Amino acid sequence: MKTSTVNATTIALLLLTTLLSGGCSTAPSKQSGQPLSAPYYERDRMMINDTDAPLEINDPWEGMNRSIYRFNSYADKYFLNPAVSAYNFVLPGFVRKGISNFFTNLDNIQTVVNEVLQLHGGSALQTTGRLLVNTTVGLAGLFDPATPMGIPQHYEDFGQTLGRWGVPTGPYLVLPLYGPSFARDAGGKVVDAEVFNLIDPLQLDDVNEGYTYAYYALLVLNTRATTSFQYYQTGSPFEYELVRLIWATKRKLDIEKY
Amino acid sequence: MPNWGSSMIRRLVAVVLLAVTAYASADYEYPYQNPYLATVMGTPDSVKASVPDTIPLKKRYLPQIEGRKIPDALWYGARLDYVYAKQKGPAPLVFVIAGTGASCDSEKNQFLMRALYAAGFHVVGITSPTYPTFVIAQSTTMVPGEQRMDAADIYNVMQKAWNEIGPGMKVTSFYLTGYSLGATNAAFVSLLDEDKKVFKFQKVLLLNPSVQLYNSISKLDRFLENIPGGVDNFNKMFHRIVNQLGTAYKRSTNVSFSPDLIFDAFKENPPSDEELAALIGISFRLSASALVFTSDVMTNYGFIKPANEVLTRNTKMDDFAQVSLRVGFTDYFHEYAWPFYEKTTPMKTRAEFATYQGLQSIQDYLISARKVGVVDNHDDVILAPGEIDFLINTFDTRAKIFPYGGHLGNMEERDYTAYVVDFFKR
Repeated sequence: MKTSTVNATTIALLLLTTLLSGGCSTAPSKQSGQPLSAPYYERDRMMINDTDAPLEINDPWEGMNRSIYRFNSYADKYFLNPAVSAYNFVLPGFVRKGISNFFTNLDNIQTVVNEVLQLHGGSALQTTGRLLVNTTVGLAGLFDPATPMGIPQHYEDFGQTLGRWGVPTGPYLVLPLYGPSFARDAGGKVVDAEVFNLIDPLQLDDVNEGYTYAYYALLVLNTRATTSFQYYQTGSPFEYELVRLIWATKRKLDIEKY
Repeated sequence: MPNWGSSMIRRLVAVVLLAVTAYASADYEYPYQNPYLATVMGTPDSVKASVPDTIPLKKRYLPQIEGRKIPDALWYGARLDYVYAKQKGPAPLVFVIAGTGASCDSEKNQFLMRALYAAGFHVVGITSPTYPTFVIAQSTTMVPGEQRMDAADIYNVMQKAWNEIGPGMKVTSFYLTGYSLGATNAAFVSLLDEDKKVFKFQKVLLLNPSVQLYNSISKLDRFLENIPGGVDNFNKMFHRIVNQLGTAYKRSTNVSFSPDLIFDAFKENPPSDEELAALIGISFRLSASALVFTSDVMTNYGFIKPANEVLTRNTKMDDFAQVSLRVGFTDYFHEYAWPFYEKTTPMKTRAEFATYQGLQSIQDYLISARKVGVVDNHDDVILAPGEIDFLINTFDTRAKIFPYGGHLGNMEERDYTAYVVDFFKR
């Protein structure tokens, strides 16, 4: 299990560095050869420079990000969406719910670690409670008796922990397959993965390799199946900007929320 | 106490009025009597019509029209999706046209299709001609808004869809509906069908149509100007609403953004009417910005993007987005659509051209076409004063007007949905 995660991380990082060195800057718009004239609604006529603009987010790698955004839409179209359709078709709803519960419960390990690191003791206690109840009474997390008991579900990751202690987001970063993120949060993901490997709650090292693959396949399928976002469904030529704004807002609030 | 008598009378009148309204709307349980709140909140679960959560909806797409060159930046719009669900046996087929800036499987279109499919109809969802991919892939003018042109484009799309899916379907007759701008579109499509006779629609139902397009877009633009301090305070208000949603998000047990958030945010702390109106304005402005910029890039007119500037797939578009968000539907009409159509339209003036886009321009047809009906609310926020009366006068017994519900806020309410289904059933 450790090897495969490290491999995946290495591949992702390699891919990132290749893409980074390939296209850091935003591609300038070209000219068609004909002379340009000012548009009817020129930017300078329409905007007051000293009012803050809600869409502005630090995105120096926009060219690369847009390429990955597009890549992700293709990955969805040709691989993930068909796989999720098959997943939804083959497995009945209650089984998928169980799988979803299982991964949510497993995420609570990461959440509790980060809640402790953020010194949010009350939340950490609640998450520990969830983890204990759902792992035992909930049969390894397949069921969720903690929710009817009134124990709230939290989600924390190392990116949020860094944010809690004042580390800025860094540049906006669209991750391959995963989607919108920030430099800080992408780094946080690596830490979370390493901590998970250290704790190794599933002891996947000791089991047949087939189970490990099944685990990762289900993880990917469940993640995509429980994410409703579809690329280019807004139809807007500004979808990239809108997604970036919503994501930045959500992460900011996630850090304030505990 | 000189006012005693008159205040008594006032109170009596109030009590009588209350009793009358309570009686008149005895069965109508829609909760929001504030039209702005209704429009934003929609229908709460407690009074929602019971329709199935899912139907076997399939998605297909039409490729771009022949000879259409698509700029690199709009690559994703090379196809126009449509959705359909077919019954096993023979049944009538209902085309459902989406509203402003909405796609064939928008939430409201999906709801209508679920309700109608459950009632035994084949359904086909059609994207609004104001949705960017329609402009890119299937609009002949690439400048939507001219109702007769848009109707012709929609009619073409319907025929292409029908040619693809028709062979596997047993259809007894064709019906047509649409909501908001899609309802206005439906009226013009029905008129066109009288001439072309491809579908020979037997029943057509308009749901909260825009009566005079120019009045509706003026109102929607004004909603944003009503922001305290004017449109330059857009950012401030935007931040305040985001913060309000954020507070609800932080308080909720939800770990993801969901539409329920807006309910949570406004239930305890309802915003003022101006703020609610601004929210409605923002939602339409997001559609307008996408439409205006897409059309501008397609025609290379030089409206927001300098003419002849070629955008690549990776061009930074923040400034275009910012400017587009400041351009309203009325700016689009006056500075873009009218100059575009000025030479080809039979209308002589800008004002005539505007009136030509309204249901009044086809009133004679709407009076005589007994198959066309309308559903609306007395307090629909996209209608100007007198427009409800126009609908009542024109459609007479074919008009169903609810006392309140804003703009489509009550579309999913039991009585509203039942009326829609019954209209096509009877």
